Amino acid sequence: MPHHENTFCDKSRMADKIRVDGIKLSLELIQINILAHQDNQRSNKDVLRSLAENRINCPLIFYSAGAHRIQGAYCVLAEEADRLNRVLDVDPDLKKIVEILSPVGALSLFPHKFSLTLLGCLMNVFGKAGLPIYGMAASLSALTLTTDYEVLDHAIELLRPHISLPANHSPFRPQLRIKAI
Amino acid sequence: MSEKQLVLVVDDDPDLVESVSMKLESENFRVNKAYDGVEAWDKIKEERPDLIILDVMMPRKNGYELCDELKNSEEYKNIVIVLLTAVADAVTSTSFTHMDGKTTLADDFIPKPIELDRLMEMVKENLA
Repeated sequence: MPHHENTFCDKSRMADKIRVDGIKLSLELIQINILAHQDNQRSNKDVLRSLAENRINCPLIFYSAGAHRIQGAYCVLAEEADRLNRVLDVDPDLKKIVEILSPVGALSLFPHKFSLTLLGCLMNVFGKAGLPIYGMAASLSALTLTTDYEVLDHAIELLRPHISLPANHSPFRPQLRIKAI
Repeated sequence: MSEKQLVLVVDDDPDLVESVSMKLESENFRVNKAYDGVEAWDKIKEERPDLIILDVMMPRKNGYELCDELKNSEEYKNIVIVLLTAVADAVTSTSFTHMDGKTTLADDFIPKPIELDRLMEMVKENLA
């Protein structure tokens, strides 16, 4: 098993590609960031309640909790833009505490196996190319970040020299969609 | 050659694959992973699993198709297949007819969301 620590995407160690089972790209998303606020926990609850009451699904949630502050960012499908705008228009207090980023896309690599090397590689590739990272999170299996939707394919091309994928891996783009009826 | 039984977990949700795999490994099974039906076929040819935990809705080749192909294959028809399905209709233990009218010859099924302990019981019962 190659040892990757402290070799973040070092070209002299290209033989040691980081093995992942797959990469997934999201559909076009809108990211809702909660702005700094005195009662940040309440702000997060307000946003989530409004999204839930209006049946706007959140395919991706970034959430971190520190000692005195909860930081949240919520992604909804770009096709929900009109409904989201209506929600914000009727609630000016809510509108004041959020920042909208659009269009963003999510890139996930899996499994991350708690590898700091994979995290470092992602940061290094995005940093060197000047690609923005609007949010980053890990689930049990996937390491996911959001960036500008239009740079997702370019990001994969930049990552490919550092990442080893199975020969017959699943498609990056979503092939199936489940919709509530 | 390891004496641990090999389970192939197939689902396009990486977190589900990981959680099921971790549970299986903690129960002393070996695990291979695949994220759609095409990848699963490759893994089956590489190393024949004793049991496959197979999601239904997946890109490229869905679980029904893969199950049909395996059960119609002389070489692989004896591999135990447990389908993961969102449809929890009352069904018999050997044949599954779902809302879309498709029938497969899987050996067992478990509805989503999965109860991991129930799934482990099912795996052990089917491999006993």
